[in-house]
Amino acid sequence: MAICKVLLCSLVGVVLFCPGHLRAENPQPEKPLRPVASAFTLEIGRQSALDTYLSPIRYRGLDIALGYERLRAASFAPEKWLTRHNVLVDFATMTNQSGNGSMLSGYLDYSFAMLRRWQLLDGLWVAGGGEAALTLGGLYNLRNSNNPATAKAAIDLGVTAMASYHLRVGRLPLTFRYQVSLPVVGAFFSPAFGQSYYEMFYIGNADGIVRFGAWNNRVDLRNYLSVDIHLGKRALRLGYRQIMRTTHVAYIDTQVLNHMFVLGISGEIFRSAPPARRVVSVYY
Amino acid sequence: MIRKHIKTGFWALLLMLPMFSACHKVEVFEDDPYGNFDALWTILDERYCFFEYKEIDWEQVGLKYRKKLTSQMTSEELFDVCGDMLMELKDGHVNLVSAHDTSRYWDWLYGSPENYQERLIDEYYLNFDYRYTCGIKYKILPQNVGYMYYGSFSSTIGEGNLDQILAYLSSSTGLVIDVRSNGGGSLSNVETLVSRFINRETLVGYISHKTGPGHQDFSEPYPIKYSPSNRIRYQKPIVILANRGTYSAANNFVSVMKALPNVVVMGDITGGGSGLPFSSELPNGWSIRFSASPIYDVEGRHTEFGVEPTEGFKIDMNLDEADEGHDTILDRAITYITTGGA
Repeated sequence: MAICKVLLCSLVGVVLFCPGHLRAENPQPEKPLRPVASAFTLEIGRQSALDTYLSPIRYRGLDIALGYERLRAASFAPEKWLTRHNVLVDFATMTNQSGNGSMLSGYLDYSFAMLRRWQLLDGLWVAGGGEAALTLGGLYNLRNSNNPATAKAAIDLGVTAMASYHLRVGRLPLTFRYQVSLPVVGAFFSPAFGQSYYEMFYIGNADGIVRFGAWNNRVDLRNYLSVDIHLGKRALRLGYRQIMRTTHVAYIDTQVLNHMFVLGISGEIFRSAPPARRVVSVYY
Repeated sequence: MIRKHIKTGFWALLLMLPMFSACHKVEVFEDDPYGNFDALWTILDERYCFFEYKEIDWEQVGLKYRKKLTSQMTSEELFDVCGDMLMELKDGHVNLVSAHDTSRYWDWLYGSPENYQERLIDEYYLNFDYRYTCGIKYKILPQNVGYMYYGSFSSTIGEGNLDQILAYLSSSTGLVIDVRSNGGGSLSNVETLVSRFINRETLVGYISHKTGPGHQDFSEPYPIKYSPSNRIRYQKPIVILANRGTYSAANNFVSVMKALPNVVVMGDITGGGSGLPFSSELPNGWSIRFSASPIYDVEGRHTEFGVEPTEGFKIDMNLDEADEGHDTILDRAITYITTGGA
């Protein structure tokens, strides 16, 4: 009788759990969790700007920016690829060396990058890939007449690289990260040497104001070094960002350089409480 | 292997960057008398737009005035040397601005009659009783002639203001637009005003700009066309009054209006100033304004030295008549309108 009960229970068990077992035995691997690593930053530093359309004199001053960064392992090959979105809104107020001229600058930068990741050591990885970027902004010189401002707009395709090292100092987890971006080709806006915005946008002579950009006329470089100090679920981000924007087109030189101290909050966002599933983090 | 190539390529790209950046070196001038003088000379050498038209040998001008520099000279002495050099350009749009002074070229005004007395108009023609909006005085004179005085194209003209003005003046037999001693302002106000006197898209001139630092580096002239306003437009005879103080945007206004049918320009040749001014600055903070982009009339001619009145209407104000309350130029305009163009 006892044997019959065992056999009956086994049969019911097989019937009830058979589909589940069948799924579990499917060779398709379970998708890992890919938490979003995001950071919101406040950045303060100095900007130095020279634009010979406005003035041959370099302006320097306070630079304030707000940044957002979003990293996530890619869905199609989480261990090998990751995606990155960067948004930076930047504003600077500057003066010339004699102190009697003022210039304002504002930039909005957005970039999307896809990077191939190589795990070199436990907690250490490097990555390289491509990046598409959009820049909108301008410089405004408060003392000029018919050339008071110059708009900056560009779209780029470039290369980017990252290195990340996650370690513990005592019981404190730290993540050091370095990012570099280098646009290679793109298109950007520039007036001709002595062309007024009145002629371009009021009269309508806008031919040739969109230029093909490459390293012969445009070199930008963005460096970003950060450390995330993990405090519970969130991390305190400290860092340094450097942005170099240069163009040399139509005999007009633009050189804008930002050095910024970065302070922010970062962390990984799980859409639900992480179950006992494999996690592919961009931290380690 | 692939990984190694990728890394090598990336670092190679980074190492190549300085080679390209080096091309972007910008000349830096010292903040001393020689550095500031050279900065001023170079800015104009590369960007001023009338060297060829005025046949100015800027190299020789630079050599002539650079000899007057000393390393110990005061800021005011340097300003005087720079200001004297800028006089060679004979351009009212060229100003060097320092904390203590502004250099300016007004010689074309000094050598000619003023041909306008505001008080005379206000007292004897407007009787101190006129309408005034957006910088425009206006009234219908006893001869049923409309009169507008616009003293500065810096005063923004609103479309609603113009509707009111032209509706009020609509019963007049003709209109006098007085832009004597109007020193200019915004070109957008020129279009706003002119668009009330044209009935179709109209070519009004050309604009060009420098394409490089050479004295002959200019773009092809680009046509400037104005569209008619879709609001109230004035269709009757118009007389424009101008004098030597009619300058810059006002000079452009006269140039544009002169080419229209039913328009006559009376008075003196305008002051000119057809270069769209740009600004720059010197290491010591002085600001320099200069003509950067020439604007031509509808025939493609420069108007830098002024626009002539319509043939047969070059008139100077008779000062004896002025003492008796008569503006010779305005009187002629009223007669022209009331007699139907005689």
